[in-house]
Amino acid sequence: MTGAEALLAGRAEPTADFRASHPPATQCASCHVEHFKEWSGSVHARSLTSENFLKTFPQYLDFLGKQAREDPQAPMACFSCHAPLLRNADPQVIRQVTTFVLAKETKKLDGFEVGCVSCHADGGRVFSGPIGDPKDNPFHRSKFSRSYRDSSFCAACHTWTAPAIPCSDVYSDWKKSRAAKQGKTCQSCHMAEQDGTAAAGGPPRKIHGHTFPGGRSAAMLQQAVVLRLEAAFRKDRLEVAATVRNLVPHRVPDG
Amino acid sequence: MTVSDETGWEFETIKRVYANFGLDKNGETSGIAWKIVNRSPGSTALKPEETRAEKLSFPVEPRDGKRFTIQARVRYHYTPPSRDGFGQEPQATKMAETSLTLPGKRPS
Repeated sequence: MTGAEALLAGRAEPTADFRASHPPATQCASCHVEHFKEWSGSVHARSLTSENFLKTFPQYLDFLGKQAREDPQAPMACFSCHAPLLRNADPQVIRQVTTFVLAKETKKLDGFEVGCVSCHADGGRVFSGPIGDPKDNPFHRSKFSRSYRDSSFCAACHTWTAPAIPCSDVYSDWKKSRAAKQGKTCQSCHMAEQDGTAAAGGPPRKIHGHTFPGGRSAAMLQQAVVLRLEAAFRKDRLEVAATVRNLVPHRVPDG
Repeated sequence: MTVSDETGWEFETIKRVYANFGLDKNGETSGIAWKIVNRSPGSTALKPEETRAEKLSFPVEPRDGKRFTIQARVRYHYTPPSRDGFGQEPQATKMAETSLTLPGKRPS
């Protein structure tokens, strides 16, 4: 649908056109059931609608000044990672998504978060991933891309390079780590391999988790950080030796 | 970290903050992401593969009880704490626990 058609159809919102060419994750759900279910419970699915983002986004714009709410470039410091599809969007679309976030109209933000299309679509109807022998289907072409197996895939959002906002810098730490030299990637821990099918009716194969667990996962936290306590009485005092060890190749906490 | 007695009463709590801070354009330490222009040596986040040890000491009197339990929990959250994308408050995860008994008889 063109912009003019959208206006005629009463859908004057600039985001309507954008949505037509960037389907939300719910459209992928019927075939990619497990991936969708996992992703739905992930922080990526809430990149635009978490309480923290909805609270801090207006504070950031206020910090920039009065004009920031109208300037489509201002929110891109946040949107380039929290809504990566907007990197190439029309300024009108960016302005409207800004309005939705400020008004906390979370339902209207569906499809702009870190979702299937933002990570797997490389334009048109071609979807890429780490599977070496992907199957085409009636809905889209499928393509293997080695980049999905590399930590550098996550770097665009999980590195800090000034003057960007330092929300996450795990990639910089990882790059200098022993884990990096040993070939252990972000995906090794945060998208663990499991048995399953990539899509309904597809062959059984090794697939990757899409819950993206991090420090907010108790299980992940207990794997990442070891805390030891040794206690003893000394006269009228209880003395505790506490040792905390970070086992992972990036800072804790970090995003 | 909390120390409780045999009745479950938490008579001592010690908190440690492991957090990323930065320096703002004036060189002041800040925890507000968009004000940060440089790293701060004052960050208390655990560095990759870092081990940090600390000795803590609590006064204990016989009336505090006989058996003590020391528990360490970690609460991982944004600053200030906010609910996650699913409306959940950040939970404290139990990381370690040890118990010991004060030797000798408890005075009546």
